[in-house]
Amino acid sequence: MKKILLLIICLLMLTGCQPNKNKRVELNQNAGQILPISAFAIDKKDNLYQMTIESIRQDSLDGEVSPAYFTVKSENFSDLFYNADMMLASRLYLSHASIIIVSENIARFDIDNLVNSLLERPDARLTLRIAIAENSTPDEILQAPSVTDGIPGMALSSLLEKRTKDQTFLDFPMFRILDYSLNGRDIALPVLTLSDDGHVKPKSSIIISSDGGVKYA
Amino acid sequence: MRDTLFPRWQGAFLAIFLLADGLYLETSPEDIFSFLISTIIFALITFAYLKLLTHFNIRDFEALCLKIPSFIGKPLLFIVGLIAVSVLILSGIRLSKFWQITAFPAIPQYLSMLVLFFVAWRAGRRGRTAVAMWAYPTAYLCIFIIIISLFITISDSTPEYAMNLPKYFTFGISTRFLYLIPALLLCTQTENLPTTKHCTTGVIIGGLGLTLIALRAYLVLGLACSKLPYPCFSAAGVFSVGDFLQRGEVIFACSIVLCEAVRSSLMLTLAITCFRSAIPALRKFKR
Repeated sequence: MKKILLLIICLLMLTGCQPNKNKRVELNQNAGQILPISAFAIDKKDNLYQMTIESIRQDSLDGEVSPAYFTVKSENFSDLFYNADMMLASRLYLSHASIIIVSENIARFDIDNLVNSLLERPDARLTLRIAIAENSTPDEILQAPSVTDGIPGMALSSLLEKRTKDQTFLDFPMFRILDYSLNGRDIALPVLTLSDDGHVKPKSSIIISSDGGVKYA
Repeated sequence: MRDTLFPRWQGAFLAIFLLADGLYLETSPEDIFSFLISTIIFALITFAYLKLLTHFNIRDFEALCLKIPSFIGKPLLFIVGLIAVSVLILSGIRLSKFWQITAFPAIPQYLSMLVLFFVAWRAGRRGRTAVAMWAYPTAYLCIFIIIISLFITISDSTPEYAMNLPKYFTFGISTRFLYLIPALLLCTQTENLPTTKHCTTGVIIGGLGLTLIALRAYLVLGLACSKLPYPCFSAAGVFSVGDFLQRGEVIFACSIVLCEAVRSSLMLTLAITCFRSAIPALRKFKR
């Protein structure tokens, strides 16, 4: 009797997944593969959002990891992630993503929509940090070579972490941005720019009020 | 029930029973105060119930049902058994929904419910004493993990939320604590006097654990809690150390899921015992 029960349970696991209309991330779930991404950059051009994704490739023979970039466009943030999933045989895995670089316009007027679209994905971490690109496009900041070896996006994340600890930047991970936005309070986001030799350097923080006004910290 | 539970095992049961709610808590300031007040009230109820049993020299709830006329005692046992089954089903529904939203979106909800019921059956089939033997160390493990989780994430809290908390004080009782009643009726015995002390301590530890878990979520996430399906779970994940310790919420969730598994095992085995006591014809069927 117990063996039959065990067998029935095993057979039940062969059923397909039930698609949840509210969760697009399940569309490629059965592919069984995930594509870890370390960072992404979002900009807005010609009324379309453009997202450049830095994924981590681990398929080299010597075991080294290397970044790979691809870009998607869409009219809203949720469709950006959906379109990115559609381009892949696997699906995006945001759990390792620790930084998003955005343009100042998106930070001032679209940050709530961006955060809400990230909350739709269960793999997006609340400790994600959002930084603003200045004097360069967000994808230029994202793809700028890091001073040390490694994945540029992860190097940027370490840079932000370090500058937050020494209080060059104020500490505003995504959960704090969400909390302060809902409270109608100002948020502070770090600003990144490119140095003369093409590396990313921190500048200062921008304080953004709920109506989109800015001032430098 | 004829088996004997040591007082500390009984206390561990009650603490685990409450802590099993740790993933699903509401996190508004009013709810935090309701958890605290409910902890005090139900600790007093536990104390009073056990003192009454001791005073009237009644071993446990089943013994009480056997002493009163059977036309009252057996239906009462049956009803409590049904309540235990409903608690088991509730645990299955909410845990399977949690898994589907957070970790296993591809697995059907009914399947993860079956897994939980299977684990509950396998763990509880040898009776309440067997469940109690590993529930006691489980309680220590879970409480330890919860305390560590609270400690390492408190640095991410917003201090002004703590300072503003007292102005939200309201007197309220959380309905989550009502589920403690079947556990109280079915898991406590008064063979030894220290039972009262240990059971009351178990309720206080469980209730304070819930209060602190909800408080942590409110202090760390603030209004962001309203946008998250499981804010207590999410709040446990804001802590990270470099690249090697980033999924703290998984360890926290595992400890709560363990409590849920113990709770489910307990409710299943106790429901069966209640039905077998209420309906003698069922005694010929083995577990």
